[in-house]
Formats: sequence, structure tokens, C-alpha cells
Amino acid sequence: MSEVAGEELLRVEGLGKTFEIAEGLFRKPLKLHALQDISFELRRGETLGIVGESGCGKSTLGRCILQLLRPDDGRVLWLGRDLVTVQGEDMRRLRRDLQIIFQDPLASLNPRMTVGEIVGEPLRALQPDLRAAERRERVMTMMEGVGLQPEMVDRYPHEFSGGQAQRIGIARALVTGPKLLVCDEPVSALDVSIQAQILNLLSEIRERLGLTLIFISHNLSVVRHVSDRIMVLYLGRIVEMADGDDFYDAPKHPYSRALLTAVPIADPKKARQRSIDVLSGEIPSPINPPSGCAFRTRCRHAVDLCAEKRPLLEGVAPRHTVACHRWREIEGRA
Amino acid sequence: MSLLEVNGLTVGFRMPGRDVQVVDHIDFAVENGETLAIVGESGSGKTQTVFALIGLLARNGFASGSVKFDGQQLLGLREHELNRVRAEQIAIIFQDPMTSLNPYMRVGEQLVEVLALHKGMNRSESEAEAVRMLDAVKLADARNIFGRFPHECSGGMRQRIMIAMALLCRPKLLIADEPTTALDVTVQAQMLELFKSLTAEFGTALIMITHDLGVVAGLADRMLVMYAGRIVEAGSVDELFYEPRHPYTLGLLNSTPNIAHRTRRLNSITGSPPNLEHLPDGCAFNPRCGFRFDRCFAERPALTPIAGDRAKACFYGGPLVGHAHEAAR
Repeated sequence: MSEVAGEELLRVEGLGKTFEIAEGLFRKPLKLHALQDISFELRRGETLGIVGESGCGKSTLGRCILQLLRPDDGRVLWLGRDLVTVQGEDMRRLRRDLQIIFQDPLASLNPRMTVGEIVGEPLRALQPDLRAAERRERVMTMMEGVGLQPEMVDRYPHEFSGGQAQRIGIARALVTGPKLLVCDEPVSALDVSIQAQILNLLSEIRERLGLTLIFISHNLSVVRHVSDRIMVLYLGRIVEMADGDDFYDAPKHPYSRALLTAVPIADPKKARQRSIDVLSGEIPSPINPPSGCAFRTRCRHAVDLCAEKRPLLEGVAPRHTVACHRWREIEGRA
Repeated sequence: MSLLEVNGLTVGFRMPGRDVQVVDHIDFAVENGETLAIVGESGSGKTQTVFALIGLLARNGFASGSVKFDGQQLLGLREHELNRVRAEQIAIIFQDPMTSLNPYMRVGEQLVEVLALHKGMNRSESEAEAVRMLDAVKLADARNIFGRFPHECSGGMRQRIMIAMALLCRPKLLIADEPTTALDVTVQAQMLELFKSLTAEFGTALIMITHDLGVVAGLADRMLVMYAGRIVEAGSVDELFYEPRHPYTLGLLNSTPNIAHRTRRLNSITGSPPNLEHLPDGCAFNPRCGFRFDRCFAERPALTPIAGDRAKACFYGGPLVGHAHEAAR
């Protein structure tokens, strides 16, 4: 919705994250490459949607950007400053700008704290010099801003429904006045009617506060609804990145095409007419990924070249990149 | 006669000091070979409805009314009689396949056991049949899967194994409770294709419980929309999607983001589903309804036929104009 994109806020360069999986006391741990060579930039006011199947690395990427997990390679430049090297008190100050909301709203709230304490906690931790009265004042204002009655400030999380709990999570994330908000599957656990309310709330808050959003979800319909730009991850690498309409109307990568045709359409006639390009198999293990293009084992366009050489991201249109050796031929055929 | 006829089904739970009613006098039928979707949000009673049908309610649950399957009354059957029906006539698939498979038994043994017990097959017959069924649910290399333990299979494979197990005795009715909710879209699409082809191949009737209208649109013939323990609208999938007559059905459709285009704002339903212990007077949906008027606060609307199979439980008679949802555009 931000037709005029602002200045560059975030630039990620060659980010990589590897987990070691213990195989027993005397054996060498296995390496799991969760993310490899991730590069992109994000402008103020933009919303980036990150999509992919479970295990593709989308949540890990969100956490690496916020330094909740430290990346092993690359840089995360926030307003020109590399977050990977920032420590201690400096990081604490920066955290006011960088916040996150989680999937399971109730599990992410401490059951022994009141709503007021939960929402006020980031202020207590990140702006300790704030007076208690002022903190309470800000908490109440924030609660009202996300559609919670300020009178509920002394209640406990179990007294709230899933949708209200997610509003508490949003209030907690917004109370320090962040510039970047990472939303990790924020509506997946909610009922349809409540999901729509939370999506509307996020859109409204984004416009009101000029927030920049990273929206992680496996639900491609939800992502289309909120995002300006889309990134598709497969086994820890970007396979396609484009503006929302370009991506949804003209996806280039065979994986993106398959993902989009797999989404059920809530329209019976269209659903019956549509031929689904059902992708065979499931995402392979990231511990032992296929050689060359990681997607080739499920791709019906794969040729020998795809096993030999990993395709690099190349520009196919303005602001549209794809990593596939054969995207031109596939497009010609479609 | 319909395959399944449900009349006045009421389900409740005994809680300390009180009873809570979660399904309130509902009627519906399922014909041979058709796919019926039951749609609703948490607490609407959709899962408890089917659990009551096949005697799977929790220990403190109770059900009354009538559930006739192939002419036989199921409510009040003894456990061993019910076991016969459940294994051979009605099968159920749950959301999480891992909780329904025995982790200590190889996949093949679990299938063979079912056939030996209910079909009296010998070892070689049952083995051949089990492999044939694993093949039918499109598991590549069925022989190999036969010898694996459940934890050696991926989520999608386990869900296929569950479907194979459910269909082993060729039931007339298959019940699937949110079978694709925990799966990735690519695997979900595989499963939905599989349900479509298998129900056609075996002539099995299917009750699909889901909150996902996308799943309903691609799969079901008819649908029931439930709210606070009652059916609020029933009819063919096309009728309910293109011309919803209950404001709640319309609200659900409007709340579903459409992949075909970007919408600025979703026309969501305000508020949350009610607490079943403190239902509002009159229509249970009235606090969230944009079409309510005096009568909605005084009386509870009954499910009333409109035409043919179509029915709604709503007093509002006018068209739901100006609120046309995405799909119809």
C-alpha cells in the first residue's frame, strides 16, 4: 500500500545460518544449513511477505534479522549499521526499533503476569528510566490502540480469547514505538473471523504508525493481502523475489507456480475448473540437500544442468529476481 | 433412505455443578457417495457433532436424539456393537496422524491387524490387501513403507497411511476432522486430490469438518454452517458461496482473504464466538450481526427450509445486498 517507498531501512547481505545437530558423543555433528546467501533490502513503510513450506527457513530468517539468533555469515545493516556486531547496551537501545509478534498468542504471554505488566515489560527492560506512572499511561494508550479495553489492564492472559491475546502480543510489540515489526505466522492459530480482524488491525496500525513489516506465513492468500513485496524461500535459499502483484499474477519459478496453484480457492466454480499442478513429494531434508538446484527433485522441468549447477538469482524484470536455469523456456510453454 | 440420518441430536458435557450443552437439536442427512462439509469456528460444535455420531465423546459427554446409519440406530449401542460399525462401516481420520498411529508398531502390522480382526483374512491375504491400499493412496514404494515405523515417515506420508487404514474395510462413510490443517499447502493439495479420487473410486460418502472455505469449495457437494451448537445455514456449496442467506455465512466468506486479488480491508465479523454457557437471548449470533432487529433479541430462529435442501436459521428476510463477497465478484 506504500506506493511511494521511503528510504532504505534494512539491508541484508549474504546472510547465512547453520545449525549443528549432535549425532552422539564421539561423532561429528551434522551441519544443517538453515539459511544460505540471503540478500535483500527493505524500505521504510514497505511490507515484505516471506513464504515457503515448513522447514524452508522463514522463521529462522526473521529471528536472524532481529538478532534473536546470531547469523553465522553476512551482515544485517539497520540504517547502515551492522546489527551482527552490535552488543550489550547498544543492542538494547536498538531493540526499541525492532520488535516481533508470534504465532501462538497464548503461549507467548506469561500466564503469571497481568496484561499491564506484559505490555509494559519491554518498556521496563528497554527504557528503564521511564517513571511507573508514565509507563502505565503508555500501556493504557497502547491497549486502546489495538482494540483492547484499558480497564482490562489488571487481568491475566487466561481470561482472554485467542484474538484478544494476539492483540496483547501486538500491543507489547508496539509499546516501544518500533520501526520494524516482524510478524511470524501471526494469524495461523486464529479462527477465520478473528484472523480477518487481526489482519485489518495490522494494516491500520501500519498506516497510522508508518511501520515497516516483515510478514512470515505459509498462507499465501493472507500474505497477498498484506504484502508489497514477496520473497519465496526453498531449503534456506531465495528462489524468487518480486512485488506482490507481479508475483501473484506472473510467478516465474516453477516452485512459486506450484505453491500458488496449490492454494485452495474459496470459489466453487473456479475451484472445479482449475487444473492443479500438484507438486509431488515433500521438501527434502536440509541436512543433505540435492546437488545443483535444491528444487530439482520435485520439479517436472528439471534437466541434467539443474543437478550440476546451482542457479543464481537473476533479474527478470524491474524488482523481480528468480533462481532457475529454465524460467524462460517454462514461461514460453505456459 | 439416506445413508446417515441425524435427528434432534443434542450433545453436552457434565461439568462440576452444571451441564454444558455444545450441540443443540440438530438435523441433517448424508447420502451415499456424497461429500458434506461441516464448517464453523472453534466452539461451534462441529467436531462434537461427529464424535457423538460414532460414540467418541469424552467420558463426561452425553448425547440424545437419533442417529440412524443404514437404518440402524447408533445412539445407545453397546461398545462392542459400535466397534463393529466403526471399523467396517464408518471410519474417521483425525487432524494429527501421529496420535492415531501406534509408534511401536510397523505400519504394515497396523494395517494387517485391522484386516485380520474385521475381515478374518489370513496373513498373506491381508498383507497383499494392505500393500494394495498403500498403493491406492499413492505412496511410492508401498512395500518399503509397509516395513517402516511411523516416525520413519514424513507428515504427508503418515496422513496417507491414515487414509489407507481408514479405507481398508471399505467403509460407506468416512469422517475427516480437519485432515489438512496441519499440512503445508503443497501437501494439502495432494491430500485433497486424493480424497476426491478415492471417494469417487470407492463410492465412499465423506463428512469433512473444516474451518477453511477454500477446502470446502474444491471438495464438497453440500455444506452445513454451524454456530454456537446449531446449524445456521445448509445447502449446496454453490448456493451458500454465491448466495449466502445467513449473515454469519456471509461474514465467513468476507473474512476469507482471496488469493486472486488484493483487498484493502477485509469485511470481518466483529466480536468473537460466544461462550456456550452464557448464550445471548434470542439468536446466538445477534451481538455480531449487522442485520439484527427486535425479533432477533426475543426469539431464537429455527432452521427453516427455503427451497429443496436449502435451509437457514435467520429472521432477516431481505437480501444481503451491498455486502456481496469476493467470490461472487
